[in-house]
Amino acid sequence: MNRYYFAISAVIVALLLGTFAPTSHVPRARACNPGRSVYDSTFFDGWYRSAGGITVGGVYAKIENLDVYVVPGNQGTSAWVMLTRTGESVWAQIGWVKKGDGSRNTLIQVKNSSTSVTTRDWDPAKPLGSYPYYTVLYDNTPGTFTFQLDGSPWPYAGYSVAAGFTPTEGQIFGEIKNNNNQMPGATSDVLGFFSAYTYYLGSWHTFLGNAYSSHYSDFPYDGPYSGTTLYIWDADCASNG
Amino acid sequence: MILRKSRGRATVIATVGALALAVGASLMVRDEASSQAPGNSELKTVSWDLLDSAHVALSRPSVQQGRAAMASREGAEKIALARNPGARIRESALLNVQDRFTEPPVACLCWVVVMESGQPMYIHEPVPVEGKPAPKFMPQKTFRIELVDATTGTHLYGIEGAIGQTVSQ
Repeated sequence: MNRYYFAISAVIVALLLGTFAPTSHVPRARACNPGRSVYDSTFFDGWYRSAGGITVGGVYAKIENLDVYVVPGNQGTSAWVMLTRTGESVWAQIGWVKKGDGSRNTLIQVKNSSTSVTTRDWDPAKPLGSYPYYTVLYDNTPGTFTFQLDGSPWPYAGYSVAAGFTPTEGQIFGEIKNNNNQMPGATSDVLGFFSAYTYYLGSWHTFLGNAYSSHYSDFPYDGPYSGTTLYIWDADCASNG
Repeated sequence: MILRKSRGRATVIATVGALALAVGASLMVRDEASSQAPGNSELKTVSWDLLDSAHVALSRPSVQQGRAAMASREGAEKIALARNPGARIRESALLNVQDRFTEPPVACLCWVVVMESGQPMYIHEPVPVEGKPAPKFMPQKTFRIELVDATTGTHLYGIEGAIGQTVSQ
């Protein structure tokens, strides 16, 4: 009799567990410690596109928001789009960053001069697993950079940022500030830069950039595909799950 | 004897009081001047040149504006700490903020919370494409502040800035 009741209870419990088991989406987005030696240095993985010295009026791409491992206290790991001048130390950048204190933000950073750099960052960062559009435009409003996240201007509609240079190149990269920070993505869970486009000579063109990695064996890339997609990842991380 | 003693005490008190008033008045005059003059910061822990490099201008609110601040300092500091895990607060102040980074400038009556953090500022480096590294920015002074709208209590955004030199690699 007791055995009978136990069996019935077990079935009921199993059914309940089955019914109420978590079914929520598990983002393919958990940090992975690559296990490399720890020292501060900057590494890149991504692609760039210049238009032969002519003015570049914009760049945009869909970039997944992933969780990444960052060495505690380090500047962070980021993924972004940017307008710059080829070979010069000026930029207008928008993307996401995870810092060594664990915080995750959307940020814009502008370096218009040789003596200063400034950032604005805000909440909410886009959810892990989402693929927002990051856009920076030049001269859409004359003499300014306009930043957009998923098509919405930052921080309030109608606001732009004074441009201190004329961009000649678009870039889309993952960037880490310590050798043991995780480059966004993993071998079985790569990070995609999708729907990448750049603006010059009065119209939008497929990004069709040149791929570049600071250290290809650790930070490989795959593509470009159709001129609009490039995948990057951290080769020392098997997965992000 | 008792009368002389109390008269002496009164003289001392009067002198100290007069001195305190004079010092207070001169400080007030100095503060009025400093709120107008470029080169002086409204924050004790962030210099004017740092704020200026980030296109941030601060001024003191009027008494009326101060009364309109519905959000508390404590609430603003709590928000700032939540955005900066492990950080400490250097100072916070109710100020008129003009963020001239943007066009038109973002203006608010805000709680400005200055963070002290072991977390270094993220600063991009130029990508060394085509084999030649571009000059690198070497920060010498940095700051981080959080802006919390003093009328609504909502966080606007964080501002970081650095001044330094760009050097060839």
